[in-house]
Amino acid sequence: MSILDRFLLVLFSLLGIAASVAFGALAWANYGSASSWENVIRSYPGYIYVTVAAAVLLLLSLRFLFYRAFRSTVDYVELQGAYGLVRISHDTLEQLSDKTGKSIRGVHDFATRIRQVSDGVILYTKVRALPDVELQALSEQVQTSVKDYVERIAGVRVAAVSVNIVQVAGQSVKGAKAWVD
Amino acid sequence: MQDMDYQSTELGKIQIADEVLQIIAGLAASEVPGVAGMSGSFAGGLTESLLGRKNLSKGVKVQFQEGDRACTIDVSVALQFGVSIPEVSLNVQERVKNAVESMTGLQVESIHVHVVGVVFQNDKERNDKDRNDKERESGEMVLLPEKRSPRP
Repeated sequence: MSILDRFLLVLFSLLGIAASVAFGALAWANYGSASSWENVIRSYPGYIYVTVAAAVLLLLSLRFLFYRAFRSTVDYVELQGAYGLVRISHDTLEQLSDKTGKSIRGVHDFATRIRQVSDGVILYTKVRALPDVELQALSEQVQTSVKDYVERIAGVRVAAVSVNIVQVAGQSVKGAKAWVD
Repeated sequence: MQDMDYQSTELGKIQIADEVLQIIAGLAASEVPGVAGMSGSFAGGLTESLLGRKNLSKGVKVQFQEGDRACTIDVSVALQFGVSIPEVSLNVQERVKNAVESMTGLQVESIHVHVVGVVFQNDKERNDKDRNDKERESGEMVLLPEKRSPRP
């Protein structure tokens, strides 16, 4: 998620919290004027819905505000260095893989996701290929190039490279590459 | 954050603020070839851009036990694209360890390097760098013969 998206999400969450507090306060002010809960429910049934909606909105806003705090997955790979640990974030490995993948002939677009396993990492790649490219050969080249590059540069063992060719870019695609020998 | 009170002499105590260690470690790490920059929190970056002053302690965390002369340092860095990550990380660890130990006398137990991203050079930066390298080379080539052949 980009910094702008994070900022907008925080802003949205804060606005949600403010709105839920405002709705809650409005309903609570009317509860206060009633003598008992039964009277409240009988006299102001609409405020019950407002209170419930405000509570749900508050919970959702708090969840979005602290969404990073609830992430349980480990998002880095650890290597033992000479004087301490070297932690390489999954984002870094994804960047390396994407850059390598995009430089391969016949690839129009490339995206990678990382999953850590006991004996290294698995790279899940999504490829949009250019037309008139032999996909079998392209996939094999992607696997070889990405595995070699990530292992060489990051020093992390790549257990597998999964290639998923999701689309062949059409001629009308804006900015489509053309390979000339 | 508590300052490290690590030495008592007959004249008094010597205290070193954590921020001093952070700045020493940050500067040492950022000078390593292949390191594109330090990576701090969003708040730190915002403060840096608002104040317009470089935060030299960005991306460095120091932990130590009270009364102990050893510390552990966490360094978050972004590296340049194409460099070997383990190699540069080892250089960062060595450089930071040497800098902190030589300047403060503290013992650095371990240095954890967090590689948070890779920075790609764009064409303009690459051209600028190439031009600077060429200028430096040509400058050296012009200067060297003048030094070697002084006029009688």
